[in-house]
Amino acid sequence: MAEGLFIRVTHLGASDGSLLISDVNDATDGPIHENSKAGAVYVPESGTSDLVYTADVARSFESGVIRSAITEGLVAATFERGDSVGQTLSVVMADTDTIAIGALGKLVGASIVTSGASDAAATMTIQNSDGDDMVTAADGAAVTGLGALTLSEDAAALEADDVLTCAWSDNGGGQGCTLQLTFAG
Amino acid sequence: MAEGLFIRVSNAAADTTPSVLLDDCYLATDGPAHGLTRSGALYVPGGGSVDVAYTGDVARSFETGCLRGMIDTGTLTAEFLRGDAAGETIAVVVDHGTAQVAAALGKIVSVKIISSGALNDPATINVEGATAGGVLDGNVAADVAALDGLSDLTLADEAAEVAADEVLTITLVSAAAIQRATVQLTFAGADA
Repeated sequence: MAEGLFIRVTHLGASDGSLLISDVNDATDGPIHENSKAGAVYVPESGTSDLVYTADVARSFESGVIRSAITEGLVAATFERGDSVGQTLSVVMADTDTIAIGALGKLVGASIVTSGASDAAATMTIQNSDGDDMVTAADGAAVTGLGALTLSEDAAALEADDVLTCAWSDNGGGQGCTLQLTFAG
Repeated sequence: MAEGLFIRVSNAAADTTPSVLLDDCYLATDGPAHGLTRSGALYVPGGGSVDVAYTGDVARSFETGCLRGMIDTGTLTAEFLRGDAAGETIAVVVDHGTAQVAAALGKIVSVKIISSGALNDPATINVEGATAGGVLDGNVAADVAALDGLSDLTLADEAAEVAADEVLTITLVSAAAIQRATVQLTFAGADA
């Protein structure tokens, strides 16, 4: 699990064995003291490596070894956000609304915001395409202002482009809300 | 074209004026230890701009170093931008018969439509920029008849011409069945 920004490099299987990313150092203090570790980053066959978005990784991703490996079809690489730097989508929902959202990655935060009190029996359900609940539905009850929703364990297994179906009910009270979902890589 | 995070540094002076040196940024791939001879290799040409990856030395220069000094004295301007792989996404819920608008955050690199049930057959979705025009394939509305779930729409070349703050109009036609969809637009920094 990463916290900050990182690059996920995936071996595409077009070559045998691990792939060496020769212009990236995994030492925390960079090349001055860690010359002996230069080239210590490998991408295992049939596997992935998550590389913290540091200077050498950024340069490699833009125009170095990682970029060359992408161009040659050896690896795929994606820019990802860790749990501390997730990306949030917000949608406005009226009472009884159902909307769909395409996940940007795993779900790390969910909250509703109301301009008035929601009903004591109000519910917000968020389900993935398999029908698994991402949050505890009862958390939508009696919220005034900001209410954080409790994530289920399935939220961490959510993948990008999975379809989330979000349904808000104020139990006939007519209160709308803003749903804010935060995703990470 | 940048992929990750980057800083675009621009020099508004006439192109006949000398380039501006940023003496605390390194272009060498191995950083200051081996890149000392390349220290100061980063120049911003008069009347031009350079895109530099958001690395440690560039970040420090942007916050409190040479680059910040140049910005404060009015010599250069700089903006923090996201490359194509690090775009920023917004979600817009659109109903049949009611167009929605959104302000672009940069060029468009992805448009996805998501429905919670099957849309009507026929059904279409369109995204148009006030200046760029239609940004979907063929510059026309995309066919999303009976879509149930998520579709990643093909973009026209004009999507890359959308500029930040350009007004986008999003229109869904689905006259029966599910009449609502969510459109997720991902933006990145426009090409220099």
